Amino acid sequence: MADKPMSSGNGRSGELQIVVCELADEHYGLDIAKVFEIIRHQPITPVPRAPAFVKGVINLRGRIIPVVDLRDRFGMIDVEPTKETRIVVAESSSTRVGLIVDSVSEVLLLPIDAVETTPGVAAGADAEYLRGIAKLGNRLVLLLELDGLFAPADQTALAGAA
Amino acid sequence: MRLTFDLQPGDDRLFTDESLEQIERIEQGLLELEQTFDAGVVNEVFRAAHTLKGSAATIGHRRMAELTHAMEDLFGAFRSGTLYEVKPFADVLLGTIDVLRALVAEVQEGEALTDAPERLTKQLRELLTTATAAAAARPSAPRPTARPTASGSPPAAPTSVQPPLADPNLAEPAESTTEELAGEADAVEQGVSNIAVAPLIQRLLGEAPGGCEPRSVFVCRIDPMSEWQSVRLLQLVIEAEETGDLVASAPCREEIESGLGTTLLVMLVRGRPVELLDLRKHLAAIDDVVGVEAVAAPLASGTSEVAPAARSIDVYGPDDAVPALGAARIDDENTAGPPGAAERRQADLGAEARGLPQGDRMIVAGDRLKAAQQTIRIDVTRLDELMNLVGELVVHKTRLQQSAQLLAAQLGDHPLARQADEDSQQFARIAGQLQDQVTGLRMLPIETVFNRFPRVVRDIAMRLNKEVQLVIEGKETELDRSVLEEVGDPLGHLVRNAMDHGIEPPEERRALGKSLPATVRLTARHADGRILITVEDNGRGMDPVAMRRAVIEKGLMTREAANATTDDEMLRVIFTPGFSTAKVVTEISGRGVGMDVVRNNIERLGGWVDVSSMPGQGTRVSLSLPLTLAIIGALLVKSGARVCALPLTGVVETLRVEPKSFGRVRGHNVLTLRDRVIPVEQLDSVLGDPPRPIQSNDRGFINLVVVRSRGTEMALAVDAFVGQHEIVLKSLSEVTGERAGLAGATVMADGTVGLVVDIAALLERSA
Repeated sequence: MADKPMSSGNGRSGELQIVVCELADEHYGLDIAKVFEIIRHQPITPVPRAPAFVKGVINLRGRIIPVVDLRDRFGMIDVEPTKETRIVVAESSSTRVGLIVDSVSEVLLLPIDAVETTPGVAAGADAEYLRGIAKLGNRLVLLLELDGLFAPADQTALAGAA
Repeated sequence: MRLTFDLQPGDDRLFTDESLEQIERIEQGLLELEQTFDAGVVNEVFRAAHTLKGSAATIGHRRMAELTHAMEDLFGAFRSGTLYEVKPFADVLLGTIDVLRALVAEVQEGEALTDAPERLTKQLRELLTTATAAAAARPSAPRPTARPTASGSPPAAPTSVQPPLADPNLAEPAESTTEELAGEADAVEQGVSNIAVAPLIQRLLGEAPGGCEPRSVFVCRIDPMSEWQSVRLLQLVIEAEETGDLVASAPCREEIESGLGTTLLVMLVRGRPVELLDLRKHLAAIDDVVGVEAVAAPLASGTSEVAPAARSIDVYGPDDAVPALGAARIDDENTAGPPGAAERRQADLGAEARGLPQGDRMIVAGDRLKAAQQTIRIDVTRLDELMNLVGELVVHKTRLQQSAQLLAAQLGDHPLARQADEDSQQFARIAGQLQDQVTGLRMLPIETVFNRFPRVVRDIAMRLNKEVQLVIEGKETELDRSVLEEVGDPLGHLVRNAMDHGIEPPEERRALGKSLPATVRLTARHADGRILITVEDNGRGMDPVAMRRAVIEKGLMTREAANATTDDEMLRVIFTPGFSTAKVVTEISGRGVGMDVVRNNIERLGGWVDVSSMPGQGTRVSLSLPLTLAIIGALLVKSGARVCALPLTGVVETLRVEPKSFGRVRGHNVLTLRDRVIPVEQLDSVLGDPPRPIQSNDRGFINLVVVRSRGTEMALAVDAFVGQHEIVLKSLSEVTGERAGLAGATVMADGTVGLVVDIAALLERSA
C-alpha cells in the first residue's frame, strides 16, 4: 500500500468498499470513506496521562493526531512494529485518529448483502464497534464501526488527547 | 422548545457570522446616533436592520424577522425625518440588540433562548406610533430632514451638537470633507446661513495655498438670534490667533472689524484637528457659538508626503459643557490622498457649490461598496490549516538545505551540488516570505475587541450614575487572533474596575473641580515586537497609605513588611488574591477577586501587567503581550521517551549540579539556590509519567531547568538539553483537566512531535 491519500467514497449503492487490515491473523474492514490515508509506522510521542490504548501523538504534515493501538483496544498481545505495520488515519465523527494495525492487505468491494449483522456470540460487550461480519470465501472480515470504536467514556478521553 | 430552521448544514455558521456583523454595525451606529444625529449613520443602521430582517426571514426565524422588522420601521422614521432624536429610544434599541444576539444564538443552539422578542416587537411598534403621533402634533419647527446636521434642535440650546466627522474607515478624508460640505450646502437651503461654507473654504485655500504641513479648517456657527454677531466673530478670530496659529479666516478680520455680521466663520489653522482640541474647546465656549467643527484641510496638490501610520482617536461619551468635544469623533488621518486627489477635491467642491451634492454622495457610497468587496471571508480553521502546512514547509526547508550541504560534501565543487545549493537557498527564501505572509493573515486589528467597550462603558456609566467618556486610541494596532481571543476578558475587567473604583461620582468630581465627564482611555500600540495596551482613568487613583492599612487589616502582610514596602510595590498588592480596596461590593466589580485573575491570564499568555497611580489623578494599568502565541521561544529538553519544550517566558535558568547538592525535605529533593529553597522534580514525572528516580548522567551531573510562575519556582530534572528554538505551538485540543501541565505540542525539526509544557499549570498542579 502506497503512502498516499486514498480516494474515498463508495461509488455504487448496494456495495461497500472497505480497507482490509490484519490484526493477529484476523481480518478487519474499515469503510473506505472514513479512511483518510495509510502511512508507515513512525516514532510516536507518548502523552502523559493519556488512556492506555492511546499510544501517543504523531505529526501528519503539520497536524498533530492521536494514535490508537488497535491490539491494545481489542485486548490482544502487544507486538513490536514490523516492516508491515501501518497506521491507518481515519476520521471518526469527532476527531481524526491514527489506528495501528499489523498490516493492510487490500481494498475490497463488497455487496451489502454479504454483510451479516454481528452474531450475539462474537458481539459480546464490544458490539458497538462491530458493524457486521462479511464472509468472503473462507475468510471472515469483521467490519469496524469507527464511531463505536471508542465507548463514550473512551471517546472523551481520546478527544482529550487529540 | 426545539426550533428548526430552514438551513443547509454548515450554513448556520454563515448566518451567525453575518448576522452578528450586522448587529454590531447597528449597535455601533446607535451609540453614535445617541451622541449625534447623523443621516449617514441612520441610513447605515436602517440598511443593516433591513438585511437582518431579510436573512432572518429566509431561514424562517419568525421571531427574529418580526423584531428586526419593527426595528427597521423605527429607523425608517428616522430616515424619513419624522423622528430626529435617537436618545429617547436608545435604551430600548440597545436592549433589542442584546435580544437579537440571543436570537442569533438560537440558530446554533436549536432552542429558544429568549422570550423577549414578542414583547420588544410590541414595545417598538408602540413607541413608533406614539412618537410619530407626537411628531405630527408638533408645529413644524425648522429641523433637519434626512441630512447630516443636528442644528435643528432649538438653536439657542448650548447642547446642540454638530455632525460628526465622517468615519475614517469608510471614506477617504477627501471624501469626508466633500460630504461635510455637502451637508453645509444643504444648510444654506435651510436658511441657517446666507453664506455657503464650500465657497468660503475655497476662498481660504485660494488665499493661503497649503504646503505639506497639516492644517485644519474650523467651521464655526453663531446663533442667528445673537445680537452681537460681529463681536462674536471677532472673539472667535482672536481666540484662534491666541490659542492656535491662524492662517486665514473668511470673513477676514478687517471685514469683521468693519462691522460685517454673519453667522458663519471659516478659519484655517495650522495643525491637525486632533492637536487642536483645546482651541476647539475654547471656541465652543464663546457665547452664542452653537457649533464648531474641525476637519483636516486638503494638502496642496503635488505634495508627495508619505502618510504616517494612520492612528485614530475616537471619543465616546456624554455631552460635555463643550458640545463639540463630547460628541466629537476626531480622526487624525493624513489627508494626503493619491496624486490628483486634491484636484478632484477641488472639482468636487465646485460641484457642491453648483448644488450637486446628491449625485456626489452617491458616488462616495459606491466607492465604499467597492472597498468592501476587496475582502473575502475565510474560515479560521482553514487559516490554521494553512499555518500548519507552512510550518511543515519550513521544517522541510531546513532538511532540504541539509541535503544540499551533504551533496556538496560528497561531490565537492560539482555543478550539481552548486545547483542544489542555489535552489535550496531560493526555496528557503520563498518559504520564509510565505511564513511571514501567512502569519500576517492571522493578524487582526485590536478594534474587534475595543469595539465592545463603548457599549460597556455607556451601560455601566448609566447603572452607576457616572459621567464617563471613553477615548480609544490605536484601535488599528494588529495582533494575532490567538492573543486577541484571550485579551478581551482581562480588558473588560480593567475597564469595569476603572469605572467602578477609579471614577468618582459626578458630585464628587464637581466638588473637586475635576473635569466632567471623566475619561477612561484605552490605548494600544506596538513596542519592541510586543503589543502594549493601557487602560487609564482620571479618577481618584490609589493611595498607597490606604492600601498599606488595608493589607495589614486583611492580614495579607505584617505591619513591618507593609511599612518596608515602597509605594510602587504597594500598588502591585492589587494583584494579590483576595485584595480589594473597594469599600462597597457592587454588581460591577470589587469582590476582591479580579486583578489576580487578570494577572494570571495575562501571564499565561506570556505577558505582564504593570500598574501606576497618582492619588486624586488616576490609575493606569499597562498590559504587555506577545504579538502571537502561535510561535514562541522555547527551551527544548529531553525527558524520558520524548522531547519537551519549555516556553522561555517561564524559564529562569539552567543548571548542572551534582546529586549531593540536593537536600531532603519530607521525602522530597530540594535545592538551595541563592538562599531560596526550591523543590526538585523529574520533569516527566510531574507531567504524569510513572515516577522514576532522578539520575545523574555519565559525567555525574544532573541537568536542571529552574522554572517560575507567579513567584513559585521549581527545578525540573531533565535528561539532556537540546537547545533554544522558536517553535510553532499546536493544540492538543481542549486542555482538559487531565491534560493540565501541557500547553500543546510542536513539530520538531526532524518531524517528530515534542510536547509543550504549560509551566504555570504545572506549578499550580504540583503546588
